[in-house]
Amino acid sequence: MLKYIVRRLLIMLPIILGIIFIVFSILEFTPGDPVSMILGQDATPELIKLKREELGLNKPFLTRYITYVLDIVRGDFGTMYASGNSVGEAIARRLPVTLELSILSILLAVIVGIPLGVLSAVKQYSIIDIFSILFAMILSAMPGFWLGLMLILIFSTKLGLFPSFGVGDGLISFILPCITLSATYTAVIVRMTRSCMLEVINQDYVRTARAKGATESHIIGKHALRNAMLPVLTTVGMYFGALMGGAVIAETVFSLPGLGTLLVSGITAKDTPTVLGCVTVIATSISLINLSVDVAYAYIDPRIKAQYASMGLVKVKVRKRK
Amino acid sequence: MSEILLEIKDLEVQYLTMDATIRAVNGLSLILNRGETLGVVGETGAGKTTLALSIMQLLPKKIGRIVGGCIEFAGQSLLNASAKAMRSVRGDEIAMIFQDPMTSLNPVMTIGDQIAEMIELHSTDKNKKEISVKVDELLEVVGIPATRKAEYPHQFSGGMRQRVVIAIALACNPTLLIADEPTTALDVTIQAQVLEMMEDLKTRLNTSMLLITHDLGVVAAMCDSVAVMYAGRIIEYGTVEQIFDSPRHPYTIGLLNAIPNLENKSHRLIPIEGLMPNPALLPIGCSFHPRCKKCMEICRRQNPINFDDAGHRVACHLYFSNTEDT
Repeated sequence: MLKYIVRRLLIMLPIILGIIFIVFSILEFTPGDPVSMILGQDATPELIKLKREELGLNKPFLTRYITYVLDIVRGDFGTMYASGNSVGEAIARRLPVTLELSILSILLAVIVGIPLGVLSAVKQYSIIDIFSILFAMILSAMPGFWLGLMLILIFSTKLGLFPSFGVGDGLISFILPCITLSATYTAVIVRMTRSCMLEVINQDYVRTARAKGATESHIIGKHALRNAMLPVLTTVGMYFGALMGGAVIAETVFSLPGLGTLLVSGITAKDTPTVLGCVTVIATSISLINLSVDVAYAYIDPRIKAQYASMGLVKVKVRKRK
Repeated sequence: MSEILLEIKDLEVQYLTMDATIRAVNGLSLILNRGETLGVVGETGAGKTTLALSIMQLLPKKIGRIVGGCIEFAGQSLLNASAKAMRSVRGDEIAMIFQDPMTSLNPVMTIGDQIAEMIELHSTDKNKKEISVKVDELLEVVGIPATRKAEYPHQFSGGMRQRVVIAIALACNPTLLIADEPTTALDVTIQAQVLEMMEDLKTRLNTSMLLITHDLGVVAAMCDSVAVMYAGRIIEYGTVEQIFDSPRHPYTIGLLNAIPNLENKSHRLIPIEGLMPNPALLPIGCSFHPRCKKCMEICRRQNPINFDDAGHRVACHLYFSNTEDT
C-alpha cells in the first residue's frame, strides 16, 4: 500500500510539470501582451523593451519555462507583473479561504446528500423518496449565482442573519457561500446514493444478511452502505477537486478573497506568474485529492486493495527479470 | 419419532409485475418431519426457490406476495408471525444455504466477521472471545483452516465460498436447513465433498433439511423422501425408493428417463418434449397436459387431486380411472 502511494506521488510530478507546460504555452500563444497592458497603449518602444527585459520576457520560451519550474521547486512563485507583490504570498493568503470553503461545502453536501439518498432508497416510492427527488431536482436546477444572490437578498439584506460579503466574521460568513456551492453537489450525491443503494439492496448478500435474521437498520448500515459508497466517493472526490478551482462564482458573489478570484483576475490581466501559481496549486491539490480518494477506496473495498498490492508486485517482478 | 416440523398447506405465491401476475406457487402442500431430509426436485422455474423464500419470508418485497395457504413451523404459524418473531426464527431456527456462493457473501466483510455476525445476532450472552472460538470451530467443521478467517470472499474459490455459506447457515444449529441448490454452482468433485459434509453435519446435529435441487443423483444420495414440483405444485410425493423404483406421474417418469444410464447404454436419452408453461398463463386443467404423452380428455378440463397409495401421492388423472365423471 505504501509503495502504491509513493508511486502515485512520483507519477504526480510529470503530471504537474505537464500542466504547467500547457498553461505556459497557452499564455504564450494567446494574443495580448502583458507589457503593453502594464504600461498602457501609448508607451514608447524603448520603455516596452526595458520592461520586457525587466520581466525576463525577452528570453526564449523554453528557457523561461525551465527557470519558472526551478523557481517553483525552490518555493518561489515569482511576482505579479502589475503590483510587484509576491504571488506565493497572495496564494498563501487566499488558499485557506478556498480550502475552508471547499471542505465545508463538500461536507455539507455529504451530510445532507448521503442520508437523504439512503432514506429515499430504503423507502423507495414513499413520500420521503418523492420529497428528496424533488428537493434534488430543485437544487440542481438553480444556477449558483442566482441562488447566491437570493440567499443574500433574503438572509442578509432582509433578515440580517448572515453577512453578505467577505470573511470578516469567521465561520458564520461561510454559511451562505457554502449553501450556494453545495446545492448542485448535494443534488447529485442524493441521486447517486439513491441509485447505488437501490442496486446494492437487491444483491444476494443483502438477502443473506436478511436470512441471518438481521434487523433492517443493521442490514443497511453494515452491509449495504459500505458497498454503495464507492461510486459516491468517486463523485465526492471529483467535486472536491472541482471546488478548489471552480468556486469562482461563490467567491465573486460573496466577495470572498479566494484562489478562484485571484486566478480570474490574473487571467484578465494576462498576469502569467499569478495564473501559473494558481494553476499549479490547484492542480497539485486535485492530484492529492484523487490520490486520497483512491487510498480511501482500498479501505472500503478489500478487492481494490488487493489490486493495488498486486500492481506493486508485478512491477517488482518485471524489474527482477531485467 | 416422526414429529412434524414443517407443514405447508395450500400455499399460493404470486409475483405482481407491471403487465402480468405470475403464479409461481399454486396450492402447494407438504410435510417435513424432524430429522428428515426432503428433496424438492423440478425444472428451472417450477417454483422451488420461491417455496424456499416463502418459508423464510424473504420474497422480494413489493412484487412477491403470499396470497393463500399457511406455513407452520414447529407449531407456530410463520405467515402470521411479527417481523420481530420472524427475525428470531431466521438464522436461528431456519437457516438457508443460497444457490450462488459467488454473490451471496458480502464482498467487503471478512468471512470470519460474516460467520460471527450470525452468532452475534442470535446469542447476545456470548462475549467476543467465545464467538471467535465458535467461528474457528465452524470453519474447521466445513474444512477451512481457521487462520483464513480474516480473509475476504474474493480470496476464496467458489467451493470454499459455498463452505463459508454453509458455515454461516450452521452457526446457530438450526432445526431446519433449507438448501437451495447448494451444489449447482460447484464442479463435480467439490459437489461430492460439500454433500458429504452436509450429510455428516445433518446426522450429527439431527437437523431437518429441505434440499432443493434439479439433480436427481443428489436426491438419491441425500434424501429420505422426494417431492417433484411442476408449475408451482407438487405433482408426486413419496420416499426415495417409491419415486425412483416406481415413479407414477408421467412427468417424474420423463425426468428419470432423461438421466443417462450407465448399465443400459444402447438407447438414446429421452427428453421431455416442450417447455414448462408460462407461469403467467397456466393452462386450464392439469398444468402438465400440453407436454404429457398420456394426456386424456379430462386432463384438459380439470386439475387432478392427489391419489394416495401408502404415502406415495401423485396428482394425475391416470390413477382415477373410475372417477372420471366426478
